[in-house]
Formats: sequence, C-alpha cells, structure tokens
Amino acid sequence: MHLLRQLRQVNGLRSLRQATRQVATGPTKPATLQYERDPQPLFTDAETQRLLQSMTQLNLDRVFRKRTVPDNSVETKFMTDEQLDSEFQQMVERAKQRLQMPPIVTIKKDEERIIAKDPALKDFASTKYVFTDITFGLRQSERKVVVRETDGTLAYATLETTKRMNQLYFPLEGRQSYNPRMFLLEELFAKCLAEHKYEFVLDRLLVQYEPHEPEFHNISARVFEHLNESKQFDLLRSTRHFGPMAFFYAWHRCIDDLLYDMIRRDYLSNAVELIALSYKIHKVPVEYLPTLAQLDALQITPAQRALAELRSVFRNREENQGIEQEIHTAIGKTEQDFAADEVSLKFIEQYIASEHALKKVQLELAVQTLKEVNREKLLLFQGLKKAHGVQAS
Amino acid sequence: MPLSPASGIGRFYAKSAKIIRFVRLGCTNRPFYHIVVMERRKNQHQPVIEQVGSYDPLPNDSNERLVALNTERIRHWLGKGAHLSTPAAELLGIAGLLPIHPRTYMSAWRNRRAAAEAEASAEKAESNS
Amino acid sequence: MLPIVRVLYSGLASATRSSRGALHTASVVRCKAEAEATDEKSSEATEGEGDGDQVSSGPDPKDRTKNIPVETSMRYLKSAAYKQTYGEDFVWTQYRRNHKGMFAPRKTRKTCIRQGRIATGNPCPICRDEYLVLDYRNTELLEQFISPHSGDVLSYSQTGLCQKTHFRLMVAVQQARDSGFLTYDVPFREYDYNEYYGQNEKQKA
Repeated sequence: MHLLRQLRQVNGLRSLRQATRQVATGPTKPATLQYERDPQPLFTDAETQRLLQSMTQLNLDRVFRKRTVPDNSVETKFMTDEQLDSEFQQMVERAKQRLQMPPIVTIKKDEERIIAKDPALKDFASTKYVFTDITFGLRQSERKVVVRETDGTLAYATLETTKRMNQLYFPLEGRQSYNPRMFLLEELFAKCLAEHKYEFVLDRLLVQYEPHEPEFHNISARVFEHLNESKQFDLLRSTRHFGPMAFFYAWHRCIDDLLYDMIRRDYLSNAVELIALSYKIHKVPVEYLPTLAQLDALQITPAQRALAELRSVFRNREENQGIEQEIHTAIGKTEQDFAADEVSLKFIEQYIASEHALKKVQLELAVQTLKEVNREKLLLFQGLKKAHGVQAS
Repeated sequence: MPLSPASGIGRFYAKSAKIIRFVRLGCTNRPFYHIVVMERRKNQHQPVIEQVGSYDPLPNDSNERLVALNTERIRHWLGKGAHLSTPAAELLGIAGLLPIHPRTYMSAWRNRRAAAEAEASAEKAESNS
Repeated sequence: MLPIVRVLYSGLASATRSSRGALHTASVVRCKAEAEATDEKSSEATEGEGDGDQVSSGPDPKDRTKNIPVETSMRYLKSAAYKQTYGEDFVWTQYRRNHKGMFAPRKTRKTCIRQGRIATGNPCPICRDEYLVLDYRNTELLEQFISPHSGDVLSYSQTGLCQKTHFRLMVAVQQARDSGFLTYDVPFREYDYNEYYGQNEKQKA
C-alpha cells in the first residue's frame, strides 16, 4: 500500500514535470537586479579577472574539501623534496582550475533562422522532425540542431530544443532533463536560501543551466541579493562563485556590505580591490592603479601564498629561519603586511569619504576598530622584536 | 540477437557495394532505427561497418521525431560512393543534407489530397444532414 | 481464524517474543506512548478493525494501518523518546538480521508489513518503529541512510531494510535531492571560455 502511494507520488512528479515544461520561462520570482547591458567585455578584461581572482582567495582546505564522490581513496607515496615540491605546484594549479569562474554573458535571445522553405512539402508527415548533428568532437555551442516543420520549413532549432537535444545525445553529468523542483517552486527555493545553502544552489545552477539563459541570471541574481541581506559572504569565499558575486555587487553599486565584511575580517587588500573594481566598472575618475601597484609590490597573490604555506613543510625542517619567522607566525602579519595595511586603509578611507559609499557610519566604525587592533598588533610586534634583539628595519 | 556494435566489427571488401540504410532495432510495436553503413548484400542484422546516426520514428512528448546524424561520416561515405536506401535518402533529404527525395513530395501530395477529400466528404455529409 | 483464537494467538506471540526483540519493542512502545501524549492524538485508537481485538489488550503493537504524518515523525526524531530508544546511533546500527547459518541471504525480505500488520518477528529498522516515516521532508531520517564517503544510499545489506522500504527510501532521497532538502556534491563543470566569448577572447590573447 505504501508502495502504491509512493508510486503515485512519483507519477505526481511526472505530471508536475509536464506542467513545468509549459511554463519553462521564469521558474521562480524574478530578481530585481539584472545586467542591463552586456557585462562581458568588463568581465573578461584581464585586470578584472586578476582582481576577482585575488578577492576569491585560495584556501586549499576549502577547495579540496572532502567530497562525496564514488572514489575517495587516498594514495600514500614516498617522495623526494623535489618531487614533493612539484606535487605542491601541481596542486595549486589544480586548485586554480577548480576556482574557474563561470562566464558572465548576456541573456541570449531566441532568433528565428530559416534555412529553406518548401511549400510543396506541406503535410509530408504528421509531426516535425528534429535533426541533431552528432559529429564527433564538436563543442556544445557548435552543434547544429535543425527542425523540419510539417509545413516544409527547415530552420535552426530554438535554444530550448538545442539544449534538450544536446542533453539527450551528449548528457552533461548532473544535469536533469527537467527543471529541478528546487528552482521551480518558490517556497523550496526560498527555503534553500533561508538555510544558507548558497554554494549548493549555485553549483547546481551551473550544471543545470547555461550562462546565457534567463533562469541562470535570474536565480544567481536572487542568490546574490539574498546573500547581500544575510551577509554570509564567507560561505562563498574561495569557491568559484565569489568572483561573479563581487562583480555583481560592483556592477549594481551595492558593495558596502561585502566591503564591511572584508574589513571586519581584515582582508584589507581585497577591500581595496573591490573598490577599484567598482571604480573601474562605473568609470569613476579616481586613480586606483598606483595603490594596486603598491599593494602588489608588498603582497603576494593568493596562489603564491597557498604555495608558500605548503612549502613551509621544508622550511620548518631546516630550522634556520630563526626567531623572526616565529614572531611573524605569532602575530600573523609581517612588516610588509603592516605597510600594505596602511596603504589600503588610506584608500578605503578615501572611498568612505567619497559620495559612493552608502553605509558610511558602519564602514567608518569598522575601519576605526581595525586601526586600533592593528596599532596594538604593531606595538606588540615591535616589542617582541626588540625583546628578541631582532634588528628593526 | 545481440546489438550490433556501432562501429568497427563489420567485415567488408574494399570494392564491395556499401549502403547507408536503416537497421530496425527496438521491439515489437516500438520501432527504433540505427542509420548504418554496411555492405549492400548483407542482412540488416549482420555486424555493420559503422553507425552514422539513429532515428526514432515515434513522436516524443513534445511531438517531434528525433534524428541524429553524424554528418561528417555520412558525407565521407557518400563521397566514397556508398549507396543510399530510399528511406535513408528521404530522411537525409528532409534534413536538408541532400535534395528532397521525390517520394517525400509524393507522400506530401497524397496526404494533402487525402485531407482535402476527407474535408470535402465531411462537408458533404454536413450539407446532407 | 475465529476471533477468540486470534486473540489467544496474539497474546501468545507477544508473550513468547525473543528477549532481545522484547527489550527493544517494549521501549519503542513506551516511547510511542510518550510521543502520542505530546501529540494529543492518543484519543482514538485504530477504528478500522471491527474484530474486537482491542477490547482485551489495548492497541495492537503490530498494527500499521494508522497513517502517521511526517511532521510527527520529524518531531519524534528530535524528541527525548527517540534519544532514549536509539541514543546517538543511527536507527539501523543496532538492528541484526535473523538467518540460518553463517551467511545472511543476499537480499533482505521483500516486505515486513502485509495487509496492514507486521508479518514477521524481526521487522526491519524502519518498519519496526511506526514513527519513522520515510518522506522527502524528513531529512534527519534520510541522512542516516546516506554514506558520508560516497554520498550514495547505503545498501540494504548494511542497513537491513526490507526491499520495499529500501525502494521507498531511494525514492524519498531522490525527491529530497531534487527539492533541495538534501544537499549533495554537484559534479564539477569546467567551462571553456572560448565557447562563450569566442572571437573576443582570441583577439585579446
């Protein structure tokens, strides 16, 4: 009896699936913010990419967190130092690959492209024919799908049909042939957001939809909006979604919450990069390049930092770095970091004073607190150095 | 009957006549076709030289018939002088790969005529009643 | 079977239950009583049975005709009664299959419940406790049956679920994943930027 009920439930799902096909567009409530013009040139710009990657950071533990995959086996090997070092480098490369940002493109509109019209073919069959080119080695976007209507017109298929055929003949792992209920039903989607399953929702979104689909834009915008309200930005840090999120906020002039979060967590250079990005997108006449160059000179990229962290295995064993290293690890900052903080604080304060900042009081408070903490740390740092007799440079 | 492997195991002579044709798979009352290249003289369930597509003659949920064609290989075999069976030629014609087969025009015309006749008879019946 | 004989039979069966089963069942019955007290639904026992069975020995512990809502089950999983019965373990950890010889049959039994009653002396972990309801909203229960390593539903050879319940479990897990109640690791999708940006990217490079 239970089984029957279950089967009936499954059948219910199927009927729901058919219903969804009819309302394929706009599964959930539309987002308020949309990209109003093509964001692509700004997003693919080399400098923007660098800024976004730097903001994303690279926490290896997070990138390579344990996943539930069919094979979770571990291999143990003996290695020489050189082998280990090359392994570390490969690992960072792999991590970078895992952090590849999903492309941001405009919504593609369906356009009718007719190849041939043949009125003599009218009523040659009772249904239309869909032809898919399954030639080996083509990319999804290059694959041609054509439709012969019953009135004899031969035309390129709509985007929806093309996607369906691609999924049918070349299935993408993880993509469903129907719209998942999670994205379809408003209450389920809202529940996911309320439970802060942002990464899961976004991961699934990437697999389920193409970046040029309206659903993709709609759902990702809604997730980012919700994130801006719940302020759980740390959930997305060092995932592939952080870059698009920062880009979205910068584009829609609502970076202040993210900025506050960055300042509070003491990611000052990231805050500078975020401000620079928003200046760049909105073409604000403020010189941000010198500050970025200064920071670059003082700090290393996240990938380099991750690699250095891995390589500390070698350094610890050699034990000739001495007391200075120990002080750095105790405080968590080096002299260069302090210098970088000063540069970035100046830039951030300039931003807060300008008319672009919307939550001035909050940001100012955060900056003040951070300054005090930094001052104390600096004092401690200098004190420790003096006590250990290390030459202050 | 085992499924004929899509490509490879059909043996053929270099100069024998090849043909692009359908192979009926599926089961009773549920036809499904592979579009294959094989030696002309062979039975359809013999091993094939290569599979170049598939054809599902029953309309799906969205009321379309699905055809997959490996156009690159089809052109290759046609260039090598492979023959075409009539149904396959019709299908390729509908796909726009070849000129439309005369039989397609014929069936289209017959369908239209049948529809017109049915309509006329229906009108007649209406006017009579 | 005559009603009197049936009463006698059920009484006998409950008296001669094996000691291990008895301990567990007793605690389950007690817990259920508590849960029902909290639900304020204890007023009506099952009405469908017109045999007069209940006159002598209260509600039949083997009866499974009552439909228990998922919300009750979800509350039960959080309750003290549940804690007392299962502790920190999963619902299936303490369960042992009964079988002749050294090796258990490859498959578990087809079903534990026949015609609305438990038809076996050693029902599977879900069937033995009627307050465990398999449903896609009952994530706490579903998570107990998902491997933390591979993310798959654990096999019935490990959990001891009967075949029908196992099937229902699979359906519930799929529904839960589809609706976003259960999260899982989505396969990584690698993008080829050229596919989306095409010529522009080439010009820049």
